[in-house]
Amino acid sequence: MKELLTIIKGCAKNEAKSQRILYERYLAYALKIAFRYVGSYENAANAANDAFIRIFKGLKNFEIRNSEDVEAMLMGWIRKIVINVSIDYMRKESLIAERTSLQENVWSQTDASNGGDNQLMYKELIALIRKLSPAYRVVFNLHVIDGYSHQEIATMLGISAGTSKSNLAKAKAFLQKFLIKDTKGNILCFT
Amino acid sequence: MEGLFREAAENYQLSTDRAIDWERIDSALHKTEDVDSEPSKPEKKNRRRFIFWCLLLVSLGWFTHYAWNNAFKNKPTHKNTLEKSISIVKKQNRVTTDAKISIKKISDKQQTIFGGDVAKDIADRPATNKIPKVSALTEKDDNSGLLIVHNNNKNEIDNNTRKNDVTNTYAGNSNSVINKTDKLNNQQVNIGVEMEVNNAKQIIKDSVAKKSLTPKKRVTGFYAGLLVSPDLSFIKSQKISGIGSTFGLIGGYRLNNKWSVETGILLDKKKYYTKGAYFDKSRISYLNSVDLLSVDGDCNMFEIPINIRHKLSSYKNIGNWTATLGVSSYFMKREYYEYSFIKNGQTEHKDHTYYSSSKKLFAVVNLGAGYERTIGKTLHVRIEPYFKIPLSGVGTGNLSISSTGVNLGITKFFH
Repeated sequence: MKELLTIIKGCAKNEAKSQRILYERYLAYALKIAFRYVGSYENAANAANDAFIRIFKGLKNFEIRNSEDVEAMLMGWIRKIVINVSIDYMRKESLIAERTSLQENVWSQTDASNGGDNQLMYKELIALIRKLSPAYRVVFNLHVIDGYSHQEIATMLGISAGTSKSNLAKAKAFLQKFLIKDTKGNILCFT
Repeated sequence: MEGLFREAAENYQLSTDRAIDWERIDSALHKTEDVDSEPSKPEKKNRRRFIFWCLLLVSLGWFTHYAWNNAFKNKPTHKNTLEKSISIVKKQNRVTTDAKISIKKISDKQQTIFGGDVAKDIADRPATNKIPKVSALTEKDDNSGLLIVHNNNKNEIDNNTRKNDVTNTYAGNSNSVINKTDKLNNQQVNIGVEMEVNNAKQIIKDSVAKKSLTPKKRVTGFYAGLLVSPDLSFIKSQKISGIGSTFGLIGGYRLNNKWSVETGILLDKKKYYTKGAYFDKSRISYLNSVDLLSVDGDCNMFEIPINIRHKLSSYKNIGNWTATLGVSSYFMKREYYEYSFIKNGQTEHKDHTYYSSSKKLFAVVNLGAGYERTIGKTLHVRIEPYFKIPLSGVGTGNLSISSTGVNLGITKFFH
């Protein structure tokens, strides 16, 4: 924890060494968030790097209220910035629903002993999110995964809360089609 | 289902091999800092370009004035004056048919030079007991190169000086009469007193004395006119955002030949840019909680200058080099700002127009130096580069605005 505090303070002073450490430590985290929104690996990489530029420029405004929760606060702050940058990116690039399949090399290599089966499922689920149209995808990510309320989503996206709810319902309906459940409600496979 | 997607989002793994791009982030963060710490190359270039154009304008103005006087104005030279004198003599010769000229050679060291106006003055002066009438003017002696004023009265002239009497200047010198035959077809003119002067400065002294006899031109009085100028404004040596303008009325009072006081009412349109650090956010509530990055702004305001103008030097009484020093007060009318700021990690932009009527007395110090040329008897045109140094901030953002430009003005002097 002290080490992280030192790194954050170094970044606030614009020290390149501290910034690089922070960047390499949290790039994967930022990339995963961006990827859920923008849908393609290249765009996610661009969005994540843009987010880090903004993170380092704004780090002097980052308030540390409780030194024990530094990492959680930092990750929450990084998440917020990455989401905002990703949404900006989607607007700028006018992204459409991704229909191309993902290359295998974008996924991190895991073996069976490391929850490989689960990873396979996680990959499939993320790939399913990618198939959503941008409007549905962003609302689904913001509400279901990142925990924003419909009112907050409406403010961020410049839409009404009703539209946010409607888009979410449509996203869920779309995803539902690909999931098969057994009688107990457990997901068995993907179609 | 939702829980499953949350779990997937939390735990899925993505390769960062193709995403890592530290060089891009490093250059964005640290090369931007290097540029911010000193004036950027475009800012330096703009400033150099502006100084160059100011110097060029002033040089052009001086050169044009000099060329105008030498090429287009046919002022009589010393030689022309002599020729004029000779032509007057010849005219007189025609009138006095039996006049004869007698010229006597004098030493080569002596050189007598007379201006035509001075000689004429001697000739036209009525006779008195002390100074005899001089009816002839000047004659050029081809051998000695002398111009001689002749007088047919060989009596001595009173050496006592009299104020403002041109001839006293000559009366102090020695007299001699030169006789010369057959130079001008045996025509004889009434001869006057031949004067010797030691050097050409005597002529200038005579000319000045002659001028002192004529009524002096009035140099004090009021004047008024119009002023217009392009305006470049900037804040703390930052970049220039665009070209503004100044337009208005000026009026003043000339105290004497050197000094005048001037005021006016001007409408300024200024454009400027600043980084967020130099903009006072305290009067704008929604900016207090954000990180202000930059502000682009423009404003309309009235300016009331109070200046003292000093004439540094003059050129042939038709052009003056001047210097100006004073202060101006600003009365703000309208401000427009475009804000760029970071809020919740996101860059946003917002603009706003303020119709404030704030005022700042003695907001800037005015410095100027330029050239003023007289046209006719009462009109003056001026070209004057200026610089305004802020003494305090103005407007909603309390910005210290420096300005520079070139004043172009035309004024009329009221006698």
